[in-house]
Amino acid sequence: MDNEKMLQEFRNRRDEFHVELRAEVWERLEAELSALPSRRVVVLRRFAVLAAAAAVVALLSLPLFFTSDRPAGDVVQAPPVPAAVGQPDLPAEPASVAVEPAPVAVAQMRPAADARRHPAIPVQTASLQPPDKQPPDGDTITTLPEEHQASENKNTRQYDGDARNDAHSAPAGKKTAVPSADEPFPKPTFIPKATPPSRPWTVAMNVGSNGLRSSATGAGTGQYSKNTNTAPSESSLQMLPKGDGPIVITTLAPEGGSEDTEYRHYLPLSIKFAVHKELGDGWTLGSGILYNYLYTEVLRHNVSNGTQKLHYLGLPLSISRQLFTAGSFDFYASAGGTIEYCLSAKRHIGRKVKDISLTRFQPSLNLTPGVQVTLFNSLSLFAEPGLSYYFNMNDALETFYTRRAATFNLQTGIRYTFN
Amino acid sequence: MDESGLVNGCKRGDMLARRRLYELYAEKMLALCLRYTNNDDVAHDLLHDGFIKIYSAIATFRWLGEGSLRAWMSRVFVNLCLAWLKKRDLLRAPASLEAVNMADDEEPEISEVPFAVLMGFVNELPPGYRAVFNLYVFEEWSHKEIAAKLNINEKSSSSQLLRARQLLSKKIKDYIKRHG
Repeated sequence: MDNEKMLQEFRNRRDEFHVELRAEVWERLEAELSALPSRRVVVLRRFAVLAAAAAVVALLSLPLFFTSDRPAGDVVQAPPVPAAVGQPDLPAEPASVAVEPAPVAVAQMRPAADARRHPAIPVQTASLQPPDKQPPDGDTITTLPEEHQASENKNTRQYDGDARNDAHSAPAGKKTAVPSADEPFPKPTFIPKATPPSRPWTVAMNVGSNGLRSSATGAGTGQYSKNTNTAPSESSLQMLPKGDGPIVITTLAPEGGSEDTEYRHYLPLSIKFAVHKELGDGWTLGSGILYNYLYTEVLRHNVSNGTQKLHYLGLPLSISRQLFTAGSFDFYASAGGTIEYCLSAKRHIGRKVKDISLTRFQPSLNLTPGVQVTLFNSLSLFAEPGLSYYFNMNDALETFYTRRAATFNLQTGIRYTFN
Repeated sequence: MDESGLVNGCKRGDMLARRRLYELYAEKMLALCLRYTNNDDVAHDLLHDGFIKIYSAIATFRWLGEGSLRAWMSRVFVNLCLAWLKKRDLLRAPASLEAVNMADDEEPEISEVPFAVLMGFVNELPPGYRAVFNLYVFEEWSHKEIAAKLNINEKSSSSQLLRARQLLSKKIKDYIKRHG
């Protein structure tokens, strides 16, 4: 009885089998369902991950706002300017008292906020300088242009105090002068910038896995198999420990004409060669080349039926920020993305090898804190546990990334720094 | 409402979607339960239990195209039925399989036989044979998969199917002879 014609006839006519459905079944169901909590499945995963990515990037950017606006080495100097007008007349010194003119201030820059208060007067604090460097009209009271007089009056109190606090002050009894709008402002003197520090290059080689499980049962090196689209019977939802090995996620998906196929996804393996360039202020730009290997076991009813292998080559791009150093340990954080291209996608079922049709490009986002320890000279070890989000480019294809878009991962490796 | 929309509605707990899902698939799933249990009351009880499980677990279901929903639901009910059979120890094969006649008996042409009659003959099979027959023919499992599920060996699965086919062929031939 090798001929299965009769059996095929049974299959083809399956839906001809009609049975009488009792009405009370739905009524009973309806009553019980109203007691079940309604589950609102809101897919926020993508948005939550993107929001988390934006939050981490914002956090990393915070130090930028607290670093100096002015590169080290730049100093702008301006000639001394007498204190503001409006200083009350001081009693005249007795003629017999010789008052030596105080040294004229060598200007130093005030914070920019002060300068904005009075647009006509370059704001500067004073320090000591030989008197011969005084402006020619140091003793002359000059009227400010009208448009500035009102604001000047408001700032009188400010400048009075500043004048008294200045290391230089006009000789007692004399009204100090302010430059008029007609007087040319002396040209500021710039000090050349100091030679910038060297920005070394770093190369790194690391291996790791882009897909550690975050659950308590699956973190680390354990292996488990979880059926997701399977029937919710006791056996199918059970965690099936399989001993040491890669972590596995199992899904159920239709494959071609088959209606019941299970995919057991193993932990992806990745190897990366990276190049980093220091940009300064603790920032580093990184790129390189990345290889990812995705292996899946195809099963039907818990029996192995074949394998699926995907090979990706990727271009990562990231920006890193050093956070702090503790001894030999450097702590940093990175954010970036990777664009991968699938070089090969094949499914092996029995003796047959089938090419898988898929969208070849696979973009992803990464957020990674890291720690690096210097071994000797320019060689260091590093570890980067992080979070990756893989955009679903192949909805009908079952891979680790289409099933588990957001994953924790761990990369470890060595770095060599070129100065 | 298409299948994808139906799934999403059930995930949200929409009663209309749940009702629609029941209307679309209840009869088919009842037929499945009857094939395994051969008992109308038991089949209706399993139908009720199966839909409760479906509605509870549909949040984890990922729609992967037309047919994936029915495949998943079928698996739920098959597992329920097999669990019911296992609990009552009805999956055990007869103590001694009769010596299977390996002669090449011609199977009858069944296209003219009403399907209800054919299913009646299937329901008359011993529970163990019937389970193997249903899993192989209607669920399209391989003997390897059936053996793993029923905790028997592949050869036993193959022998039970062969025996089931022989019994069915005999009944169908007798029916055709009686009804011309």
